[in-house]
Amino acid sequence: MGAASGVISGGWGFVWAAYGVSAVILIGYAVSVHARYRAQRRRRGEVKP
Amino acid sequence: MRADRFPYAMLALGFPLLLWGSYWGLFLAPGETYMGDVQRIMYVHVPTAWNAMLALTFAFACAVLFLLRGDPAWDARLEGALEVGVTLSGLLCLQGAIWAKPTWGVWWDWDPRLTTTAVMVFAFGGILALRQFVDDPVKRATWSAVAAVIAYVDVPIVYFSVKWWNSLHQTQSSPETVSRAFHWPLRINAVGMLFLMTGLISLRARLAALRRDEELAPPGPR
Repeated sequence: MGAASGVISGGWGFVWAAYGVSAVILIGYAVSVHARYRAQRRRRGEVKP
Repeated sequence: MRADRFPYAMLALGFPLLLWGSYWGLFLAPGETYMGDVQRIMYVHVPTAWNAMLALTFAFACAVLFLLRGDPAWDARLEGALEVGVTLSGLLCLQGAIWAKPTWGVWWDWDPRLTTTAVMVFAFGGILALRQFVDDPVKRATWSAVAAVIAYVDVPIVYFSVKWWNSLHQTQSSPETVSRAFHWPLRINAVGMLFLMTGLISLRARLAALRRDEELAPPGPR
């Protein structure tokens, strides 16, 4: 990082970390809601096991 | 369209838009003058912030409508909006910490914007926890609606905190304060996140409604 000049250089690791965390949480949460919804419908016999 | 397909249609629109906006933000948009490439975190952080607040505002509206009408459908929507809002707010804090380290030199600071956001996550997360401990569906719905109305007081405080107090966090962005080269990836991701949030709230609310039906169903034959 070029802190002395007041300009940040590099930092791609932080960018990938932010996008990676976002992808994992958003996809993971969507899969979790879908799985819980399917499981609940299965309990009611609305979908085949 | 079957009502059941609506949330999946929203997700099917949201994810590709987010992918497209993120690709644009990561590889096509120019770096910012002072923050360089680190500023690219904005394309995912800002849409997450807008939609987290929108989800919690919808939760507030559901809570008020439940208290006025007593319709359990509004309680199911409240549960959906609370869970999605808390998930997005938690993600917002993580993204913010990752952006803060290279720009501020620390992962976290008890600055007004960050502190009020943390209060928001714990207040609404607490309501979700409260719902787990109340067995009576009517009491659970009423108590969580009242708690959501009280917790919502913090949401406008989060939004205006950067104007009201000295903050490390920058003030709200607007089309006038964001360079035109950054507009499109930001807008595409904001719309993508909006579709995603709508689909997730809708699906989670359906799940809450099914669980409530099961709770209220009379015991069947053995």
